[in-house]
Amino acid sequence: MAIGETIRNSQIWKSIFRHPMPLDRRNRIVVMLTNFFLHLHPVSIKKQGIALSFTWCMGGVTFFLFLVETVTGVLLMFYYRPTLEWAYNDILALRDVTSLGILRELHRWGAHAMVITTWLHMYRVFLTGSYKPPREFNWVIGVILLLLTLLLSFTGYLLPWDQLAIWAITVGSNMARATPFLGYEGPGQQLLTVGGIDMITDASDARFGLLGARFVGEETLNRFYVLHCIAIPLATALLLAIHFWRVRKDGGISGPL
Amino acid sequence: MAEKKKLSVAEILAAARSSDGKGEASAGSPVASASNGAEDSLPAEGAAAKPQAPAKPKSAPAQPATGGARPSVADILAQARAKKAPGEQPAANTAPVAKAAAPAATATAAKPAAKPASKPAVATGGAKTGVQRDTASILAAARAAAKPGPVSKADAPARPAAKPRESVKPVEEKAAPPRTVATLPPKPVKPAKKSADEGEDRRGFMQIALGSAMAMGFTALSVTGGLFTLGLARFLFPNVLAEPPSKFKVGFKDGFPQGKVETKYVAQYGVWVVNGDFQGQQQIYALKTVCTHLGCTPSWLEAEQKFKCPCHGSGFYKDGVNFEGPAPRPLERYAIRTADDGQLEIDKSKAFQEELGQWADPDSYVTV
Repeated sequence: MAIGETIRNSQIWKSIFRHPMPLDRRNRIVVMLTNFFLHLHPVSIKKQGIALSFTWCMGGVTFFLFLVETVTGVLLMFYYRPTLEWAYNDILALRDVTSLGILRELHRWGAHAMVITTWLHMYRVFLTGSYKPPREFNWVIGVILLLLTLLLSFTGYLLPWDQLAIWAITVGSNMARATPFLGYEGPGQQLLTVGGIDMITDASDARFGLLGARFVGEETLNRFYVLHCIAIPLATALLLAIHFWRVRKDGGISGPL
Repeated sequence: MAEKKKLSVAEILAAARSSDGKGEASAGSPVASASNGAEDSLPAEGAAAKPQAPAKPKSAPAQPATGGARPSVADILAQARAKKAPGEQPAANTAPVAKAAAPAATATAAKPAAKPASKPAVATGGAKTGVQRDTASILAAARAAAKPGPVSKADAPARPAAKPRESVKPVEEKAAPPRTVATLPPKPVKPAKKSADEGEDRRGFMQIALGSAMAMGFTALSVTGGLFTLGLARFLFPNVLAEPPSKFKVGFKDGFPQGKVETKYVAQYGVWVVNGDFQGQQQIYALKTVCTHLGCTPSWLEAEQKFKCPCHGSGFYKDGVNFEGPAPRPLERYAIRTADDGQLEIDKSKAFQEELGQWADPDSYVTV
């Protein structure tokens, strides 16, 4: 193929791909190491690492779902406005009038699946003892990632702004009222009293900081929108990177060390 | 005992040899010294054997580390033997068995093997005393020549004179160059540091100056970070809320006939104004529209005369007391009073809980 040959010998092609086709072992390694996306994966892994019966591929599926949520989430942001006036209507519009509005359903199903696969991933890690030293800190990071996944789920739950969402967040955020010291119904709340004035009230406690108001309202919708779309995904992405990096530094994917 | 510590391997060996019936002096009469030597050697051996044991590990690691500064026993023996070979050969013949065993051991197994091999040779001195320079004496000489290092640190100051080294030096010439290499570098380096007082002062000053600057910098950085975090936390608590006022008027008593549950303030204020009975007393009170289970808003069901929560099915009587579902306690009351203009005024900043006996508080109701 003269055309293919010409393209592969062109300056443009060579400036992007520094190495020839990965037809032998050395080039396969070199191509992986010099490609930004491919280098994320180890050049070689243990046989067990690709044994589905051993890993269940639940970590990989969870990460795949995170990518799905990111892509569909960004697309949904083009159609969704986090205001009392429009939030619920935009959700209805996505269902009724927007082409490929099924992306919203994909986002929702993916979110449910991601919570499930995260649990299954942790269950597998627990069963195979993969949390043991030297991987114990990666387990800690994994637990934080689980919390972030649940928080993503929780904050995203409010955004449709229907009755289910409002009351679910009302009920869920009531837990924050009982935060020790920082919740106005929590133990130790009365300790934070200055000059006879309670510093922790229903307008200054942890729940208030979460909702941005005394009860679930427009401020809450806005806060949860920012948390759901910006803050928590960024934190999750950072911890995911550390999580994967440590998998390789702590002896490779699963399997006995 | 103190003397034991100060003895180096070389000295011990030398001492053992000299006490061993003057092995070298009476070299000509092997048989005579054999009978004496066997008994004489025992006490000397007992004294010498103990210090030797701790000293051995000390010299062993030093060999590879200095790399030639202190030749290994095998090297020393090989060199010394090569030099003395002509004079030794006839002597070796007189005691073939012992002699053959010792060099073989030293050549192949190096030091640890050589040491035990040389000692028994002394103990069984009878057969060996004829030899002018056996393993032990060669060791002693060579070791003395190859700078006998201090046995312990406390020992070091007492050593520098080390005259035996000077006297035996000519015996071992090959070991001399490594010795100078090993001893010279450390000595010039240390005085150089101490003598340059100016440099140390300047360096010390810079360390303090830079160190304090770094400390101040990082302290400032962490303080700034802490203040920023506090500010960030404060930022998330708005000063002004777009919420209805917590104190509001709901009209005159006439608007609330007996048995009525007014629901028109629920949407905006979250309050039911009720004219009902509590413990046989007719009152007007303001119930908070928050279910005591998980915080949903119950609905007033006129037909069933009860508050019913849609979330989990909790039910409350008209007076606010729970009777069904998971709610653990009655609804709460807000403060209510008759204002100066005669209207009823509700204050949501104060709440009253029945299970705490607070509904007896006159602020929690208005008598009809």
